[in-house]
Amino acid sequence: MYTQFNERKFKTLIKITKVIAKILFIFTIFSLVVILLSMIVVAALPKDVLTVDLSMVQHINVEIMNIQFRLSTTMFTGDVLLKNSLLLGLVAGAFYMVFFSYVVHQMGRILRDVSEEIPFSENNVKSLYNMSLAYIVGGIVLPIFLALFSWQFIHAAGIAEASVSYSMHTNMIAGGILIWILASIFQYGAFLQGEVDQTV
Amino acid sequence: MMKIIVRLDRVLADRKMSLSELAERTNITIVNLSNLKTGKVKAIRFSTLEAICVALKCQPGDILEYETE
Repeated sequence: MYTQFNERKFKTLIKITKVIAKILFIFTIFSLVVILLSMIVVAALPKDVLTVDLSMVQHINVEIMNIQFRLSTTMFTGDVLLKNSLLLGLVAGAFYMVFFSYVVHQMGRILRDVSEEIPFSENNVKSLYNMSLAYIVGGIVLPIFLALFSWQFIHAAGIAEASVSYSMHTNMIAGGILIWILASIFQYGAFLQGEVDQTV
Repeated sequence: MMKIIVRLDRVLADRKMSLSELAERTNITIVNLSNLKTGKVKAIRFSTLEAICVALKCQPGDILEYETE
């Protein structure tokens, strides 16, 4: 049974994590703003400004699961119009940033309550359930935007040999399920906390 | 509906003691004593009951009453 608890160490850990969460949140919001502004700029630019001549490219390296593939230049057919690919890439990036900022915001709320010595609050239970839902939905929806971007890119680059398939981020979904279980444990903790709070 | 009624106000009135004075004597916060008096608590520790009985020089049965309907 754990009878020893280093409160000072725990409070220091929570303080540091709170600062990191705040910095991460500011970073994700800043990134989201940059992405949104970039989308406006890219949408406003004429198509011929965003073209790349891939015939000058010697080779392109692609890494899949720690294996590096060298793609032949014969795959690429000269000028590539990047505007739509860039826009879809930025849309995918924006949705990823929205997901990260939401998760970090929920984490910040949890850490705030923990620092106020109320770890098993109803707000923390809600935040954990929200985080788990975000991970599960993100694991299903976010790869759609990635697949769309990849499809647009290979379509624009004229790579006939390539195809795009959709696959869920199963590790995100598994993480979401784990957080859901943790949220249920915290919900029980909140119930027990309520019982203790109503005991004099 | 709670069937255990706390008669703390009655005993306090008999002893001519205020809630704040009882809080001082028992080291229990006024908020907790107020919640106890108004029946907003779900449970009471024996240590709390003992402290109140010592301060009011009474028995637990003087403070707690079971209401049969």
